[in-house]
Amino acid sequence: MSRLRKLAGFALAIAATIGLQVDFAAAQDTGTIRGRVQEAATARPLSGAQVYIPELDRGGLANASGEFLLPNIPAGTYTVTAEMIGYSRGEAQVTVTAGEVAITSIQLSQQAISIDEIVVTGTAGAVSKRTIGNSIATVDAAAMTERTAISTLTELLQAKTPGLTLLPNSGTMGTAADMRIRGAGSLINNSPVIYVDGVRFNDGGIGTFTPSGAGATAFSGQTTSALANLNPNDIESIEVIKGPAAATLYGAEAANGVIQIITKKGSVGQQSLQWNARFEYGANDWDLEIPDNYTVCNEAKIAAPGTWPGCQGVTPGTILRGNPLRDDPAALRSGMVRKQALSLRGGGEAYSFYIAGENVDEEGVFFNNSDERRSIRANFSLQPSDVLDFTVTSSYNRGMLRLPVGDEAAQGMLLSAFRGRPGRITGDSLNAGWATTRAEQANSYDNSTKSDHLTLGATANYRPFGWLTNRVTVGLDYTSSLAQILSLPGSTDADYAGTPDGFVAQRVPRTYIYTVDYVGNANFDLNEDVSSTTSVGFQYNYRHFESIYASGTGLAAEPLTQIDLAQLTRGSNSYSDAKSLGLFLQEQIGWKNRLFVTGAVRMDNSSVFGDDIEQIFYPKAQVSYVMSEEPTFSNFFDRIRVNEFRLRGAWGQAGQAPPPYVATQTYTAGRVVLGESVGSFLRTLAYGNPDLEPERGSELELGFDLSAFDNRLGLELTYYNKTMDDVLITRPIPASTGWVSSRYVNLGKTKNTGFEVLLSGSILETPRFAWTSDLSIATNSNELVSFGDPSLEVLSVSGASYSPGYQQHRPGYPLAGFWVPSVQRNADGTPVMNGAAVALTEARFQGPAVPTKEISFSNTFTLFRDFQVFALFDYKGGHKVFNYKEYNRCRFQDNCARMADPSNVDPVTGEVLNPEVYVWRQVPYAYLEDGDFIKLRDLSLTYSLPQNLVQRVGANAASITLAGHNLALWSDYSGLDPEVNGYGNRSFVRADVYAVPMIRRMTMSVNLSF
Amino acid sequence: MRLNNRIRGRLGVLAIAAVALAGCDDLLSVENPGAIEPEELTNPQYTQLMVNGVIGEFQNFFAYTSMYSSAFTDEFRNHHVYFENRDIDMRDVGTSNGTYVIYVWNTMHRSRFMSDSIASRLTTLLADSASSDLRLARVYAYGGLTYTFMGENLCEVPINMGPGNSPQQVFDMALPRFENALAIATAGRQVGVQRANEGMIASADSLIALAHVGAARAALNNGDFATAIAHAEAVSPAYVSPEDEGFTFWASFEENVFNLPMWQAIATEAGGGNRWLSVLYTPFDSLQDPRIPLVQKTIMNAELTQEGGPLVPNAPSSYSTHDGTVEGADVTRSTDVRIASALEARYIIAEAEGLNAENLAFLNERRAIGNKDPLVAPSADEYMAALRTERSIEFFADGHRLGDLRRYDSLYPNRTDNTWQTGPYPGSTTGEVYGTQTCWPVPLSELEGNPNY
Repeated sequence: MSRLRKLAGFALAIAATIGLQVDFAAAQDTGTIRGRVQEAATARPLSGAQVYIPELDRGGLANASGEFLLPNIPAGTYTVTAEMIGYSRGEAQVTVTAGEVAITSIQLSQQAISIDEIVVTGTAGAVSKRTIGNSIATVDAAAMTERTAISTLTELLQAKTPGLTLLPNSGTMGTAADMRIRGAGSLINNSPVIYVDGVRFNDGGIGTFTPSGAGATAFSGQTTSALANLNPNDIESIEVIKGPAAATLYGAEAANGVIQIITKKGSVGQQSLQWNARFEYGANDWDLEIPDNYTVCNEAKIAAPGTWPGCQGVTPGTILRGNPLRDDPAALRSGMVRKQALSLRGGGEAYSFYIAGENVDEEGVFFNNSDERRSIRANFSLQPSDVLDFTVTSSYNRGMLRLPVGDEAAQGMLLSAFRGRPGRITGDSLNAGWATTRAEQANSYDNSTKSDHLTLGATANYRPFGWLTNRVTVGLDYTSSLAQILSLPGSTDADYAGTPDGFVAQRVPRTYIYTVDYVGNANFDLNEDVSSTTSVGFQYNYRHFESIYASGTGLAAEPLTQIDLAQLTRGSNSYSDAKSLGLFLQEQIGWKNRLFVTGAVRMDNSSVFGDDIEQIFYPKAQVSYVMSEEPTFSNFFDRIRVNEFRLRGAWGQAGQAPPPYVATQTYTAGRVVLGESVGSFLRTLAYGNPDLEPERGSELELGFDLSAFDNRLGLELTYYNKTMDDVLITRPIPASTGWVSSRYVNLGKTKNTGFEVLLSGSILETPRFAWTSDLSIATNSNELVSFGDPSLEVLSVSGASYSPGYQQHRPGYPLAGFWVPSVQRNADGTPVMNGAAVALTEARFQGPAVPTKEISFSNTFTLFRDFQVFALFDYKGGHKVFNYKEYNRCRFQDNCARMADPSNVDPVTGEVLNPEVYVWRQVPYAYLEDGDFIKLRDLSLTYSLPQNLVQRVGANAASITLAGHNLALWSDYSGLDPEVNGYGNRSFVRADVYAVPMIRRMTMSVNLSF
Repeated sequence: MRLNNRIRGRLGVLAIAAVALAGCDDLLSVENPGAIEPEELTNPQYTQLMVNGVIGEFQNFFAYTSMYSSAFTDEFRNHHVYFENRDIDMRDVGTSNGTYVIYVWNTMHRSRFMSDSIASRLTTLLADSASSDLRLARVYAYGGLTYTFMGENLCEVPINMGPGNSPQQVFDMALPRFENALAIATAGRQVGVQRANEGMIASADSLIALAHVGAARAALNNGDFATAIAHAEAVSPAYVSPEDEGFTFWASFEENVFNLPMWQAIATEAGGGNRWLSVLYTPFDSLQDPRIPLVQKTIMNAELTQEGGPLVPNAPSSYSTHDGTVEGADVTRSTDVRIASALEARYIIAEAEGLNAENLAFLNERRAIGNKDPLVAPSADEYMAALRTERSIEFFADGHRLGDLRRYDSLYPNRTDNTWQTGPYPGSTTGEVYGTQTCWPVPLSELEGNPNY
């Protein structure tokens, strides 16, 4: 922490030097404005509110106690404004007398929706929402991180925005979630593009070895994401640009939407330093009930004392129960959560800065699962003149992630526990009750990844004339990891990997992403009523990836884990380059500042298309109409107490380029043994497809924004219809050609339609009690319209080793829906039997694999000004989950509850008493269940300490927060958690295959501001 | 004036955009250090790389096919927990069985394509010298072997998205490749003699023998006994006795390059968590023969095994680490596997000619290695049955068994020995039975992508 302070001091010194030069001219005929920004209803201080004097172009940020200070203000009378996300703009008239301090107070009322909210759109400068024809969701990240126990960006985004779906896959600490906006339209990639302060951010994996429990051999499992390197506490706000209608300006990779992350910054003109310290401690726990495993001791088991010691001395039919996951103290733990964060904000006449550092230590519920992150961020802004300003953003994160054995690996803790049978010994007598390895052995698995993530960005805004704005951003996002898997000689993992003498492997992947972005805006008024904004821009992105892998088998001794000392060494490397360039031209015509029509076209080029570089065009058109400001309608809206009403519509296209090199036919080389020597040999590599084009997303979006009852009720309703043409499908090359691979072809068409509703209300506002609430509803209807190839009727989702062919792409149905047979039933509901086999129907559509309905409901209660309670409920449903774990238990292990139920199977004779047993034993599809659930995602209580108490310790404000994440689950699903997916590293495959359920996190945090 | 400024501003940004566009070809150029484009293969400096491509792809497919075909036939019992491996053992291979498609079907076709395309490229590249260049002879010989394996293993063989060829058609395609190899290698040998180049002569002799064994094998599979005998008798050095078995030709593997895949399946060193093949429930279980040394080893999915583990082979006689003892020596990652031999040529003669004094003496000589009593005045059927059984031991787990069983079905349909495993699948608790497949099916990827299906 002392290093952080030194760095902050150094930065301050630089900033002060710059600032002093500019402040030198401060005149003596000035005074100071001191004030406070408060919530109107409760008088609660509003930290982070932006205070501004438009006449002077001066401003600052309110500190944690809502106070602000504006010095060196020339004598005179001014209108001071204050703004904050979620509040209507507040104003106060202040008269400044030379040499004196003017005191003022600005009250902000909660405003559910504001059409004048400023957003980032891809053009230069900030833009008011009223001019845009599409919906843009804004997440007030700063407020959310203050009052919840969230730990990552994906948790921050979870259930915050209608249309943005987070599929978290696993509760293993450090594993990644899938992110989809308005459904899946592509078969190869549905992740949105991430920008942080205008710089493209790496959202790929950090190069972790797939945790398989067998050395470096990869089973499927979970994946990781560099997004975890982004410190949520550094984020001011997040804007979600949902689809092609809005993302045209982002071009060839924006068809899945764009997420703009805006980090915290200081405010030019801010004169006081704001220190903020946050200390958070708590625990991650497995709070779900662990089901028992069952053994029915029959005569055969009683007669096998070597295998079934637990069945000795009991009568036939005795039922044993237990689960080593619960019974073995080495299996689960209460993982520690420890976070310390320190930030400093400040500014002067012409500069501002934000410096922050954070230390996060989190442990998962497994003893070998932990995530440590150290991050530092320094953002500087300099405004040497009214026409020019610079912002430099920088962040560095160092992570150390340790992962347990993969969920579905044979040596995985959960697989071994849930396949375990009480009273049975498999191999080692210490393994009693476990199916494969015991907890102690699983815990010895050593898979770690150190990662470094550096993001640098510089933005210059140049306004040579009042009507012309230019913005240039250059940036680099650099990720480097050192992943290691270590199996010491004699360890269980070494034995399973077939390397009993030990094994060590290291991988060093590096990703460089360069961003160059220029946008120019020219504004002028054609006449009093009609305005014009012309925007021109270009973007250049360069993504370079390289990775080196080395492994050593056979370690001479435990301490000697260096690869080159091993008996057998191997090495390899990989490399890829992708570049894209785009240009756009946009024209927006405004009429009386209430009707805006926008048209744009973008042209893209990409290196992915090989030698035949193509130019691809994407058009867009938008209209936004603030009806409530139309004199014809204003009386009507006043009568129905609607303050603002805006109609909007947008249509646009955006693309998605295929992965690098896939257009070109290539050979490569390998190593071959030629008798006594080793040589190189030629191999086919990629068949290529020179005719490839990008996937083209088109979207029509219609909706309205409404603010009513003195802005206390807000409603945003949006309908979208998004299609994806030229969908890239990997088609296997018939191996008879000799080219053993698949290639991308532009074939299919997909469609996503749905509604998004965001209802925000300030339900009650009294000085002692206030209640605000947000209800978000999103639906998604996903459909594969066509394969584009009449000969192709079904495409099974690949990679589903435990549910082969269950998920299929079929025209007219959702992508990767479940297509399996149903059990044929007699009139009395019993299964139809063909001899000993259960009769099944033909495969039929059973339901989608991902949620189609999402509802989030959040409430904030403010009590007696100083207490705040926040609760977020999250519903997802309309989909199916394949409970493979239970299927395996009942079908193969014979250890599930229903098989041990004496009313189903006679425990002595083994006679089947309930015909459903045949279904449970034979039909995997019987374990396809409704996946609907409700979770209490976040619950927190924040207490703001009294000002007089806080000031005694020299602070401006202090608060204590008790917060919980994933606190409760309501679901009919019979597995542990319907949210998990054992195939977290696959695009579409979803099944509950021993994935770790979402764990509960409970923390207490203290916030101090100085 | 104000408008002029605006226009100048707009022209400025458009100029920047135009400059960016004009230079975009350079801006978008990328490197791919791991790839060669096809047009570069006309460069003579890649000749050896291309020849090695044929050898490398062959050795790759041969190693995997030998292993999975062993599981498919009665040579091995699967213990792998993965259902695709179990389906292979049960001869119930679905058209989307990825394990089979990736390791058998795909690798075979890759080898076939490489040998055919490189033969074509080399013929052009070498011009006049092609007719005596041993590199081209080697490419043809490996090509012929690949076709022979395809005919033995696959139900149908489409070539370059053509219609499916029957095994007989594929064996017919193999023979001209062997003939080309023989002609070129013979010419190359002459060049070696002229140049007094001993290395070249030895290499040519080896290729000639390889081509003869391959041609004999293809002809035998087609029931063309005369051609089979002619080629088998031309193999030099010929089989003389167990102490002097004559010509051998090997597929080579090395620990740090391309492991012999069978290592993980059966080797002691591989570890019990990975071993997945045993001879449990096969005709080779409890065999006491040094050519297939068997020992107990712990194995994957211990639920199916008896105390101490089932019997698992150490290196059989086609493997380079074979040591001739009953306990045997372990298979290693670097164990080589015999592809062709004078011993095989002798077996081909013994099968094609049938029972005669020489062949009976040969059979009894081989039976003696396994401590079996000599056959005395056997009937023709008894002789053939014993020959088939002995052959199954001599060429255990080296890629012969599936082709042999199919040939027996074709040529000796009424036999009662060396048949397919049928009936209940051992260890099944749900009444599963062995499937009826006798060859690897055409996979879904081919059925969907090949317009001839």
